[in-house]
Order: sequence, then structure tokens, then C-alpha cells
Amino acid sequence: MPAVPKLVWILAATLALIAPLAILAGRRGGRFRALPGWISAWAQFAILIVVLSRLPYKISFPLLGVVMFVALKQYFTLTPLRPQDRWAIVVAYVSIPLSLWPTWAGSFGLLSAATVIGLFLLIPVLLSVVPRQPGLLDALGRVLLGVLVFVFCAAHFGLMTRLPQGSLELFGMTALLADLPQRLTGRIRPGDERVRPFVGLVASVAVAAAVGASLAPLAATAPLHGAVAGSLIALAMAGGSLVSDAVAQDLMRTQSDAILGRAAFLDRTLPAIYAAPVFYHYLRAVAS
Amino acid sequence: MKTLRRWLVLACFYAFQLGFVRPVLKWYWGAQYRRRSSVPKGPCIVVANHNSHLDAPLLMTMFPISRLSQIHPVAAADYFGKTAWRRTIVMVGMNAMGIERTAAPGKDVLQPTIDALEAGKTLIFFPEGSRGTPGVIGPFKPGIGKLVKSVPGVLVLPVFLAGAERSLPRGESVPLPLGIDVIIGKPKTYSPLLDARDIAEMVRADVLALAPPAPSIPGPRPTPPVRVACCGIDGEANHALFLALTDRLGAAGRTIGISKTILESDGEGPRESDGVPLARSRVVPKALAWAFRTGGLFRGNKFADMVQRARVDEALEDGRSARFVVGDGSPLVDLLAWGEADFYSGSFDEKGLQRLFLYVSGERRIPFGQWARFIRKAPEVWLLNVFDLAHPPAPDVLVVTTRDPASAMERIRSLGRVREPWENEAFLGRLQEGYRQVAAVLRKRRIEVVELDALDLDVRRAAEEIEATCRRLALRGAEALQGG
Repeated sequence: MPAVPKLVWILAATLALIAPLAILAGRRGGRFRALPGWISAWAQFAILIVVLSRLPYKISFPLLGVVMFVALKQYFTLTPLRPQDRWAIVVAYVSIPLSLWPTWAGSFGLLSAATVIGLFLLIPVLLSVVPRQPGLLDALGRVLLGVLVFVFCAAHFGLMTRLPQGSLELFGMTALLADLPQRLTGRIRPGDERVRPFVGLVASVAVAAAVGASLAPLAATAPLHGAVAGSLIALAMAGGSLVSDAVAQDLMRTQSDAILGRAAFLDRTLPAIYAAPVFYHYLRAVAS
Repeated sequence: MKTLRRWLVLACFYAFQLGFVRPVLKWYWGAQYRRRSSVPKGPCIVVANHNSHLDAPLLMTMFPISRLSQIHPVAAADYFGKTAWRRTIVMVGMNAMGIERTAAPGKDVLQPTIDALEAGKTLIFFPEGSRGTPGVIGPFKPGIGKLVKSVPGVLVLPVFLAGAERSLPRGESVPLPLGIDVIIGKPKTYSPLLDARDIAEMVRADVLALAPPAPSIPGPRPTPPVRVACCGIDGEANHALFLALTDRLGAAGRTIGISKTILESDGEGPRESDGVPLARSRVVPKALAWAFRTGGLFRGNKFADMVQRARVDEALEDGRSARFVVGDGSPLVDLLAWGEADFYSGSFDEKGLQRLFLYVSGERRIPFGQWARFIRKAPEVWLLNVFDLAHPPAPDVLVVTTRDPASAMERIRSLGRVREPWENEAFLGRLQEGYRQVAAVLRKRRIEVVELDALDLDVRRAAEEIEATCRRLALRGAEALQGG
């Protein structure tokens, strides 16, 4: 039986430690109410990370494709388009295997070409050929954001498998622990003048840097680069949270019951996916 | 030979359902079922809105596998019997029961369905008749009423299907993978003494009541409605003004009146509405009110009523359903005035009342350190805030009717009903003062406040003046939206 790598143990132990606390804190209600759902999403995310990192590509890449499909489906369920935009949605789904192919080949250049030329240029055309109706720019923004986050950014998890062994787990650990302080203090929102969310962000950067620095050697990375990558992850996740909040608000989805339980999806997935390209490109361009 | 054929058909049906329909609905569409436990164990008629070919498979999947052979979607024989392919898929694969949409002379098209119900089978029925325009729920044909009348005591299960109309609407051949929600209501029986059309209307209202708020599609966004609330200690004056305003504003644009019942008005006088969604049940607020011993105007059931009204008001925020919303009272204003008069009698300065406003409207969370105080003194506010039961919106125009508490008491005594414990002169005086203070706080939030003396009230004239204010605000809202 192959030995389970240290980073996988650490990730599992961290989740096992946080999960009961999150469930207990969730019972207090208020801003802690979402913690049980949050930790359950992270548990699933951790499994995906370990599968991607440790299992053969023939198993892990189709799984990543399925996860991207489900995520994109949830996104399009939350952000409906005009009836005539159906073909743009079809192309967005088709883009998943198209983006996984260059990822499989380990080529970021091909991924960029496929996404930029194939999608970011094709989708506006598809949205424009349908009979004129108001809302073109709004619809365009909705489709492109979905493709950007749930195809382009998510495909970076596939690219991360090309980094030194353990990088994916390092990302998972850092992102999980960077997310925690922001969840506990409440996240930064425009117009919110309270100090607590800023304290949460500072704590998040500090924790992520410390975790990144201490675990980086296990992923064949220098501690300094681990610390910088961790800080970048924390900042990118804060940015992702701002985006998910703004999207939810724009869709008038602030009521927890309004979207029948699909509400939390954006909030839980978007920040971590947002941070993936930042981590990948930092390690690839600077650290290696 | 006949038995063998029947077994073969049954085997094909199960193979199609278990090998194709259920996996595809689960994995491709990720269908989610709400309140599945409401599905009755025995025979019933499942009634749902119909916008897609996915609707019948979705409804069949609600039932356990062991009951599948007893479930029959009712399908139009003229449409589905056209080709052998359609006939095989629908009659064998879906176990459908074909009925003619136009009756032959002397023949009852519903007879096979009546026989099936009497034989203990369950029917899936789409009373709209056909799939219609995506997202639009057409009128229900009286066939469902006739069926209910023919089988007295039959359970009718209302279901609302959300999302199927976007995945595979009429006229489209590519099924898009988008999430679908199947929202199941409570099974009900209808009196067979009612008219078939009335039953059909009631069933439609039950299906519509399950509808979630409409999704926000790209394009110009409607302005939020202008809200008017009639508050004060004189319930009769408030109600008269509420009715007059709902009527008058209806002529200017679709108006929803929120009182004990929901009214709608669009120029032809107020009438009871059947199209306003009431998505969540009252069970949770009722249980919470009982557990935390809410009091006064918000005791037990009344608290659940208040939450329900606030939710309706919230659901109207997107402006698609109404241009004006008139309230006979306002959950936010009433709760604040009661807070001032009762829970925190005399203990609130203006700043404190502003803070209470933020808690009740859900703009700010009650700090954990203050929970004990709120649970003890104002559980209503605490429940609303901490459990996110509702976020009552603030009115744009607040109409406060004032009256001398002594004459208000006289009026209450003259009604001859049992008095509530809080109906006494001293409390009504404090409550009136509470409304005044809340009005002062709302004025600072740029909310228009109109004070009227109930004893001297000319309802028609007052309604005219308030209508002019509302029209002005509606116009200003539209201009602000256009300006960006």
C-alpha cells in the first residue's frame, strides 16, 4: 500500500479539527450560520484536490471536468440569460473539454488561446447574431464571468498538477486557512465601515503567509515563496468574495431562501477558484 | 400472450425510467426536490405548471420506485399518439394515459382518468392543457375541477416546477443543463360542491403559492414599487384608507394591497389576488413565536402573520409584480412603535430607535452580547433578526392616523368584542406616541410622512393627496433608474 503523503494527512487533520468547531459555531447563528455548509464544501474541495494531485490523469481530469460542469450549471441556474442566448450557454459547456485538453497537455499557452480566441471572442458573436433585444451587455457579462471563473480559472487546478508534487495540497491548506479568519470576522463589503472585516483580512493574509511558509518545503518550494504565494491567495480570495457578493446583490439574491438553497454556491466556491490562477502563475513564473 | 406482453411493457417502462429518466434528471439536470415528504402514500392527483417536456418525468421521479407503475401522466392522445416513436416513448416509457382533448358526442373524455383514480392509481395532470409560453402560467382549464368533483375526497398535490422552462422550453430541441427545482406543496381536498371553474382557480392559486421569486434576466430592470403604509392606533381608519389607496393607485399602475388578505388592483377596483407568491410556510415562525413567547400584537399566530406579510412585501421588491404596494399597517413601523411603547417603554432615544430600525429591517445583526436582553424584552425583534425570518422593507410614504386614546377606547368598547389585554387607554396613548417617534425617525431617512386625524378624516380627499405623492415618487424612481 503506498504511503499517504504528509501534506494529505495535514489537510485531512486540519479539516477534521475545524469541522466540529464550525458545526458548533454554526448553531450560534448570525454570521456563523453558514460555517457548517462552508466546511462541508471545503471537505469536498479537499477530496478533489487530493484526487487531482495523487491519482492518474485518466481519472482525475474527467473528474475535474465533471466538477466544472456542475459548477457552471449551478452558475447558469443562478444567473439566467435571455431565451435567445441558448447557444452561448451550449458553447460555454463545450468549452470545458476544450480547456481541459490543453491543461492535460500542460500548456498554459494553449489554454489561453483556446479560452481567449475560442470563447471570449466567439461568445459575443453568438450573443449578437440573435434577434435584437435589450440586455446584450448584461447577458455578455453573465456568460463571460461564468466562463472566466468556472472554466478558465478552474482549469488552473488541472495545470497545478504539473507543478511539483504537493503544490495542490499546499494551495488547499493555504486557501482553507486563509478563508477561515474572513469567515469568522465577516468579509469586507463596500460601504461597510466596521473594523472587524479589515482585521479578518489582515489575519487571513498573516495566517496564509505563515501556513504557506511552513508547508512550502513539503511541496518542494522555498518558504519565502510559500509565504508570498499564501499572501497572494488570501488577497485573491478577498477579491473573489467581493465579486461573489456583488454578483449575488446584482441578481437580487440576498435573501437566503430566494434561490432555493443554491445561494451559497457562489459564496463558497468563487473565492477559492479565483485564487487558483494567482497561485499557479506565481509558482510557475517566480518560484520555479 | 396478453400477460407476457404486459410484463414486457412493464419491463421496458422500468428499464426506461431507471436506466435513463432518473439518472439523466439527477446527473444532467441536478433536479432538486423540496418537501418531498409531502407526497401522499396513497392515490392522488399531482397538479403542476407545464412549460416543458421535462415536466412529467420530473414529477414521476418524485415517487418511490415501488410505486412507479401506479403513476400515470395524463397526456393528450392527439399529440402524443401522432407517431409510433412518440407513442412508444410516452405510453410505454412514461406509462402515460392518453385522453382526447376534444370530446366525441356523448363521451366523457375524463372517464378513463376517473376509473384510474377509483382503482387507486395516481395521476399527473397539467391543467393548463399544453406547454404554453415559457415562464408564463396560463389559466387552468376546468377539467381538473370536473375530475375533483367526480371523485369526491381525492387528494390533490400542488407542485411548482421552476427551471424546466429554461432547460427545454417549447420549440427548442437542445436540452440545456440548468438546475431544476421541484417545489412540492401540501396535499389538499376540495369540496365537490364547488363549481369546477372555482376548483380549477383554487388549484392554480395553490400551485402559484409555491412559486419562488422570478429570476432576474438580463435587460432593463423595473423600478422597485412605491410603498405606502397606513399605520396608527385607529384600525378602522387605517383600513378605510388602505382600501381607498389600493383602489386609486390601481388606476395608476398595478397595485398590491397587503392586509389580512392580499388584494390586487389595476383600475377595476381591488380584488383578492391569487398570483402573489407566498414561498415559505408559517410553521417555523409559529413554532419560534411559541417557543420564545412573543407578545402583544405579535403573539403566536399573529407573529407568523406578520412574518408572512413582510415576506410578501419583500418578494415584491423587484418591481415586476407591482408598481405600488399599499399596506394596512407595516411590519417594520408597527414593530418599531410597539418596541417604543411596550418592550422598551421610554428607554429609547432617537439614536436607539435608529439602531432598532437597522435590526428589524435586517440591515444590521444584533450583537451577540445583546441577545439575552432582546430575548427577554423583545423576542420578536430578535427572532426576526437572528433567524433571518424576514427583512421588512421601509415604506416610501408613511400615513399615520392619530386619535385621542380615550375616544379610541370608546370605539373599541362600542364594538362589543372581547378586548385584548393591551387595549387600554394608557397603552394606546403610549403606542400613539411610539408611532409619532417612529415617524420622526423615518422623516430623517427621507421617508414622506403624512399625519391625519382619524376623527376628522375625509378618506377620499386624503387618498387623493397621498396618491399624488406616490405618483411623484414613482416618477422620480423611474427617472433615477434611467439616469443610471
